[in-house]
Amino acid sequence: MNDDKAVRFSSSLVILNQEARDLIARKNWKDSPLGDIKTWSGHLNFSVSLCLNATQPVALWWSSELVIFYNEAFRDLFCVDHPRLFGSKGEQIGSKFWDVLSPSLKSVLKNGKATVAQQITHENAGIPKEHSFVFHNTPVFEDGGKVGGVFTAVLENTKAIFSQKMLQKIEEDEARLKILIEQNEELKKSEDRYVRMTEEILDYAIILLDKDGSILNWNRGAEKIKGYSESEIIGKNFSIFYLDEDRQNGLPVELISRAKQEGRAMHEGWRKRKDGSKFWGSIVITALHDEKNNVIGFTKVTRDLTERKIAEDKMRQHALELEVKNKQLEQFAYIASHDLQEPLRKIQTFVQVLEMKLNDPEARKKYFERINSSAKRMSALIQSVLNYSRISQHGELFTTIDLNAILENAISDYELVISEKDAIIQRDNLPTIKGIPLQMSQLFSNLLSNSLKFSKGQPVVKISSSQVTGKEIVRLFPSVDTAQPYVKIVFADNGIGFDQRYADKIFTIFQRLHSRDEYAGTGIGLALCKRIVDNHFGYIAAKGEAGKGSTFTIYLPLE
Amino acid sequence: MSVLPFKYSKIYGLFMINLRSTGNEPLQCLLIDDDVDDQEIFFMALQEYNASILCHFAGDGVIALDKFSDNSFLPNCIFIDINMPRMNGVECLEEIKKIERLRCIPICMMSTSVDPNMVAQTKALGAADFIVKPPSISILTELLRQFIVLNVPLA
Repeated sequence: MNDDKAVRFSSSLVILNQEARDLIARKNWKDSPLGDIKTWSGHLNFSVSLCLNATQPVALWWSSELVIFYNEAFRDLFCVDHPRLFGSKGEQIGSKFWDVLSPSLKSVLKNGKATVAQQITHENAGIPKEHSFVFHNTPVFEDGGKVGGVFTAVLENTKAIFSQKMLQKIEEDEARLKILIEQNEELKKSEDRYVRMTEEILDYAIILLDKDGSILNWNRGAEKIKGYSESEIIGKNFSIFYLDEDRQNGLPVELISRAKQEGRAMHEGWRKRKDGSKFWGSIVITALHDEKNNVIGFTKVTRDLTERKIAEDKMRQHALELEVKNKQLEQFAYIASHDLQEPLRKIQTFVQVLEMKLNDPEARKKYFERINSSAKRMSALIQSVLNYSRISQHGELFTTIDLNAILENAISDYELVISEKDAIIQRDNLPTIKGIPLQMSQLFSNLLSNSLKFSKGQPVVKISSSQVTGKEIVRLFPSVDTAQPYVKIVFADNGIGFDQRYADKIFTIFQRLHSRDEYAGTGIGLALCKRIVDNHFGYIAAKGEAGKGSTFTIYLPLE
Repeated sequence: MSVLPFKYSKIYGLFMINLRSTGNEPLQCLLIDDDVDDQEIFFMALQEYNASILCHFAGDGVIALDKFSDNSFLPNCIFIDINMPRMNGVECLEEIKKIERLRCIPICMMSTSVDPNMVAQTKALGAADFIVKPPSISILTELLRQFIVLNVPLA
């Protein structure tokens, strides 16, 4: 401080710095509000010395015009218009800086009390944009207590402000983080809930597939419905659940591509469990998209509707059976009424003809005969229809029947015809079965009479018996129980036979292969046989060759 | 009226009845029915209407088709009974309609009873009409008359 070059303007104005000294010396103070330097008061001189010699940034504002003195440190900080402003009126600063500072300075002048003013930002090359300074303005008193000027010390509090701001920011960040954590936890909780919900659902298999149909997750419902554990199924393609034929027909691929195109694909059908058993699945495949609307995978929800399907099928089957039965009944009623009406119509017609020819004895004989035969035919028909409808009655008791006894009875019933035609009856030993005796008698009787009736020359009727399994006849009768043993009884004759193409028609009620005046009959006999065999859960088939003979084969279940 | 001037044979052959020759080609019809009584009743009724009509009989569809294998056999109208052995009336109708040269011949189905489904079915297959066999010759005569007048272009 004790510089040799210090210039002593007066006893109290001592300036150490050369540049500041020059500034003071060159300035024409006579025209300034402060007047000639020689007239400056001791307070002013002292204050200017203090200002210019200080190393920290300080400034001095003197008189009511606030004439400014500043030191180098102040100048460097605030980029003042140096040296023009040095020693000029404060208002000549004319910047935002002045706008902020002047009220504080004027307040000090007026009240004689120290103030603090803050200038937050200051733009200066080399100084970071965000700076904060505090201006501590202190009054400098003259003799007599009047405020002569204001001494301004500048303290930088950038760091404090900055750290305060940082703190604020950190606090804000913390708050945001907290919210985020909370939201995340909420999300996690809801995801957990969702995952748990999905996992715990037992009635639905809920599966996530990637875009190629590979399985990404697995819930308990899927395990329950499809039988695979999570570890053995993840990564496998979902087509594993489809039947081989569906896979070959490309059903899984088709469903995936439909879901891709339409957003959703629904299907119902048989699917395969791990153990190979089948279940009826109702599935919905929904495509999952990313924000760019690309398909990234699928959800697949499967429900096991096997029980419903079985119930539905059963109901449909019952409805179908009922419909068939109704149709049969309708047909029966139609055909029965048709066949009953026919002789009646003839009687009416012939009576009418006869009325006109009563005097002609030849015509009288002829038409009375016709009327009589029609009436007989009608009576026979009514009896047959009655027999047929009785057969269908359920609730008859199955008892153990020796078929040998049944056959013997049938043979003795036709003893007269057999001896008339000199027929030969060859017979095997027949087994004992469970059945309805009356119906069995009717069956054997009808088949035997059929062979005797459609005969030519000496009838030879062979009745043979053997045992077969359901498996052996399943090709003839697809509905057969393959595990069931059957007795096969064959009635073979050497009669007129029939064309094999009528083999199916032969058991239809009222179906005749010959006109009535060739072979009498109602067309009910073989229909009755079929009905009896049906009642016994058996099967009947006819084989014939025109002119060579007929073979009727019946299969009845053995115990 | 006297006793009908023909006898029935078990071989359902051709009966030519031409009591009232008109000098023109006589109208010919074919009845396909297995019932001998009904053949006789049909014949009596047709005679009442027009004794000059030639009437052919076939005992069932198989016999009728055999008759049609002779290309010169071309009746003006055909009557087919529904209920017949071997080949029923509906099958017979179908077979006849398959034969090109017979396609335009009007066919009338006949049966003792009527089932609306059967009527619809046979009409769909090309039958021109369906007669329910009445319990009287005079009614049948009227029904045959109506059918012939409406469907057979007179020669």
